[in-house]
Amino acid sequence: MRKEIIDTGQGFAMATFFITGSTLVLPTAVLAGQDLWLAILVAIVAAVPILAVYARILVLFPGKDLFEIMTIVFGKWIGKVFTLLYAWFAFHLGALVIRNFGDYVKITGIPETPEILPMLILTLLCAWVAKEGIEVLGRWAKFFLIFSSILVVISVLLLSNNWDIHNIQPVLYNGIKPLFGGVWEVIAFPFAETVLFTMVTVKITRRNSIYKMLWGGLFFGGFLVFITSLNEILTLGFDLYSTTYFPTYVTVSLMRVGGFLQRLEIVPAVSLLTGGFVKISVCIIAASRGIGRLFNCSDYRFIVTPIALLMVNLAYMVYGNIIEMMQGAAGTWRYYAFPFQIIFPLLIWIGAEIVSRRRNEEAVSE
Amino acid sequence: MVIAVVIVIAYLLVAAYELVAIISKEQVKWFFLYSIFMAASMVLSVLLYLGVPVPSPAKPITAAVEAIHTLLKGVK
Repeated sequence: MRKEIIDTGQGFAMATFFITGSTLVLPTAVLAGQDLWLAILVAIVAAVPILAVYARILVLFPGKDLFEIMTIVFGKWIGKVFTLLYAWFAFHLGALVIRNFGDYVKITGIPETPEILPMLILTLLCAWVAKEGIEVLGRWAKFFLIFSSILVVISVLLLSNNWDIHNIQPVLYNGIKPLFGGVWEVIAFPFAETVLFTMVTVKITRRNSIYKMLWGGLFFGGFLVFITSLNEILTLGFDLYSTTYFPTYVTVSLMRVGGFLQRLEIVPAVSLLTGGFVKISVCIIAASRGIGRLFNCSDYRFIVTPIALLMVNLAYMVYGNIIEMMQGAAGTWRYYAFPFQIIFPLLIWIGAEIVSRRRNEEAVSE
Repeated sequence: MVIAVVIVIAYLLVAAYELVAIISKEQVKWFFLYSIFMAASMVLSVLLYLGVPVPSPAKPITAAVEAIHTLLKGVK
């Protein structure tokens, strides 16, 4: 297998794109009501230890991915079961992001075109980059992050004349409980989805920079999600925000600057395309690696195309319409993802610490 | 029906192109894995195009989550 080495900057850019991915265009932390901006801030802080667990797992076994670590920690057969579960999780998540992209393009841009076409074209591009490997994806992400981030920040600043501070007042009017619901929602989608990085980030230039990569992505990606969501809630108000499928699209369509700069709907489309591209590619690589490990294959690139095509099929059939997709995203995702994002990584981390210490003790005694 | 044939031909062309590289590496396991996944994807694509109802995994996942949720509420 080719060496797949990325530097911290590339990993940071990938993690940022992964977090912003489809989150920038979809409603976020709706359970927190008008306090969703606060829920995002609390979720960023709450996600720090979760991502530290992911990073620690990789640091304990340098050069190994999560699938290999699970086999070392739990043994062959239990490791295979976990490998299958995580390969499915990556596969399913990738299909959902493809579906988000398909729905966005269909609803906002080309309603007469069959939904499968934009989904298929994007996925084939993602499969191509997945075949080229994580290094190429890392370089691409590092190059495009600056443009994508500047576009998001400028669009937020240009909308500031539409802000109404009353849209977020009074703070915590409904109490603390809805806030926690919103925090959980943001952690599950998208912050803790970065668990997929433990499956694709095999080698980084410096051992401990995996922390910088994940935390950097969390803080910067979280910042972009925060300013975008705050901008949307200040501009639209919670009632309109929560009843819109793509609030970012509606928000930027209200932009009027000096009578000449208006209707910059391309901005959320670019955000979704760049972030979604990285996210889908990471999901394809993770799912392909999982399948490869499951069948003891030394490489994963040979299986990328069938996995990507199966992903498009799943994306097409997983939900009947966008209402079902929104209900799935808001209703069940955080419960469904909880074991993959919190419980299993905690078990793996504890097991990895025990195995690692035992190995160190054996090495010292020898 | 023409589109279904086009889908099958497209899959066969992609598979032929990629299988040449796999065969040249003499990886039998890779060949079978690739063929099985590609065939599954092709069958699914044709079924979806023909409008044959294929069960979505979203429904059993939602049902399982709701069942666990109800169970946990009962424990409380």
